[in-house]
Amino acid sequence: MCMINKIFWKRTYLFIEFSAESVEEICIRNTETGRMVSFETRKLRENCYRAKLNITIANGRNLLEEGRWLITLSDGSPVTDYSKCIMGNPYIGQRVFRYTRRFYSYAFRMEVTDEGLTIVNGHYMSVKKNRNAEDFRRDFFKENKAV
Amino acid sequence: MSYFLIEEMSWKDGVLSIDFVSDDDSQVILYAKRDGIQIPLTCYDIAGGKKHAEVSFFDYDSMNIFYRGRWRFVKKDTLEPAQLADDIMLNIEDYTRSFYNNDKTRIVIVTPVIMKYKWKDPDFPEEKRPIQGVAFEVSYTIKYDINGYKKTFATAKREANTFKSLFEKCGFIVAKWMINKYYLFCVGRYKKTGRNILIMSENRPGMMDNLEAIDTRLKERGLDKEYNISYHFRNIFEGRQNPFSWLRTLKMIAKSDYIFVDDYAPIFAYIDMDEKTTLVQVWHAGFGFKLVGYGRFGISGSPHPVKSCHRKYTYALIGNDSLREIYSEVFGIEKEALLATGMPRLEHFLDDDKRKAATDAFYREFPELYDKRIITFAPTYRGSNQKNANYDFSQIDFDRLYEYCKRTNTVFIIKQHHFLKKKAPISESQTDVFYECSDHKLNDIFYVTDLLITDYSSCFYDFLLIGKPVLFFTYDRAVYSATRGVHRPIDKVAPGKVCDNFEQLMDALENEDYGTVEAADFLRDKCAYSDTLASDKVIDYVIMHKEEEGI
Repeated sequence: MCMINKIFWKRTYLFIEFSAESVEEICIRNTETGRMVSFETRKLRENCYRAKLNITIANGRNLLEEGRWLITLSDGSPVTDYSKCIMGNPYIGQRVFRYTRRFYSYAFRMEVTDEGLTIVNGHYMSVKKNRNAEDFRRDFFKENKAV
Repeated sequence: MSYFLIEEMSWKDGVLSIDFVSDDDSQVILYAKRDGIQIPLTCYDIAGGKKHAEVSFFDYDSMNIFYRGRWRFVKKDTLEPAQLADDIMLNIEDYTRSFYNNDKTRIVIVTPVIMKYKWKDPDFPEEKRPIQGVAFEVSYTIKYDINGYKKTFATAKREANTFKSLFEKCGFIVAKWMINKYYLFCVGRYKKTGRNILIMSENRPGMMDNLEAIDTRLKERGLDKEYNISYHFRNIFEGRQNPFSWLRTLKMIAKSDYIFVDDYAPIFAYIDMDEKTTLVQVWHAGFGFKLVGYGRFGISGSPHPVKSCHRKYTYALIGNDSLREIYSEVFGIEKEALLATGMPRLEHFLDDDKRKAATDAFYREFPELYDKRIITFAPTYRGSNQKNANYDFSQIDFDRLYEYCKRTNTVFIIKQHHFLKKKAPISESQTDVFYECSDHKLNDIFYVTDLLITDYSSCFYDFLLIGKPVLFFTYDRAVYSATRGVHRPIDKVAPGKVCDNFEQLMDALENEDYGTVEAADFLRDKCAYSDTLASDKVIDYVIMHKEEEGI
């Protein structure tokens, strides 16, 4: 039984703190391709562990590829007990990495789905021209409301 | 001490709350300098003499989304910027928020940005002049697929603001395409013999440090007779290079089987490296606090996620096993590609004859310093690159330091980072105490140094081998962490006392209080406890293809 207590970022490292009776390996599984990526786990104290993943080298020498990543154990079964870490914080696990003069962004967020807790990441590009920005403002509200 | 200081900051949904202290009751506004828009904030008093204000970046009812651009917290009358408390700055990354639309194809990103100020208003008391302020950058972003995304003229058009920048970007795309094509042409033309070694640097005009040590060892072992060793040094950051220099560099790279490169070499980002070539990064630094390479991913000076020269290294040298994780992060490569050989440049660092030769040479040049205590001051630069590198010497009270040095029979050697070309502001009357030795080799100065004062630089890593004390003068610790980033918290890891202002530095000097923090494992270079020379390990593993134990 594994319970996620805390999810946070430090530079390019994604940390997941969890409680378990024995050492569990935390992984993420791409919901489309099925590829699994393991976290490095170390013991913090009795029954308490911290797993980390450097997203800049999570795919060989490449960034963690875009997509939806379900947090699982090493056997691929999703971690289902995560209510403590998301309680009252809809912005948990959010992080934006900006590059090329802040023009591009590599953004992460967490989503709760039927399967479990999912990390969603993708690349975004800034809107530069005023005309496009006005379209963006209009569409952003017309289509929906923000998360 | 700031008089307009944000002490606490938090997000709740789309609302940013701030608690601040201010020395007057001026109206606080959010100010977009580019568009000249001012939004007054409603503030109210809370406990502890603080004030509280809230800003909603999203107001759905009135469809009010903040315009993209930088929004600064300032006082309305003077436009004095709000400064951030150190605790916030040390965790500045945590204050970014992204707001998605329903299908996640668009995000509005709100990022805090530390802006440096040079406050010139003469009516403003000097001690109150802010040196940094905070702005919130609102960006509108749309989804794109990085895999299907090629740098084309169309994307250059999207990125460019002006016709000039569009012209430059298009020219850059063409130049990079030609560089790669010429490299591939040369690879096809010159067959690999397995006997060509290239020693090169793209940002130093000559050979030094690890490259010099490896080259010396190659010659000592007579390998220069078996292998063709070529050299190529230039500093591409000092000015525009002529096209022939690029062509010559590309030809040399294409002909080589083994390439040893020190420091950042962007040319490797532009070419599709031939698989038969072994590219070895012999990074000069053991361990420094400042973030480099992919450690800076996502912050100022961030490398490109895919197309960076760091990703191209076959191997990279590191000082010891404990540095694997740090340099794996820095270069964006797997830990197995890191060779824990120790720093070749340090392998003779503690040899008596080398030490004696350097010491004698120093005192021949400066005989008047023979009976003096020597403090060496070797800070790193501020700024994001070689072009805008600087150091704020106004943080140092040279008169007070002069008086201390005179009283204690001490001289103060200043060794600036090689990016810094401007001399330290030493007055003529104080040149008997302050010596600028920026053109000397720092490691040679270390032999005569009794105390090193540095900051986020990696130079203390070498000095620790000598076993003398180090002080860390980090007057801008929080700002530096927020803008440049550090690998480890300096106050927790530094093997010496950390002084956050000049007053603390003087206290430490006067009381000889240098701290007693023991150096962590990752701060001990392998050269200090290994029987085999680091350069031999590199040569044997990379060129001779011998399995080396423990690297």
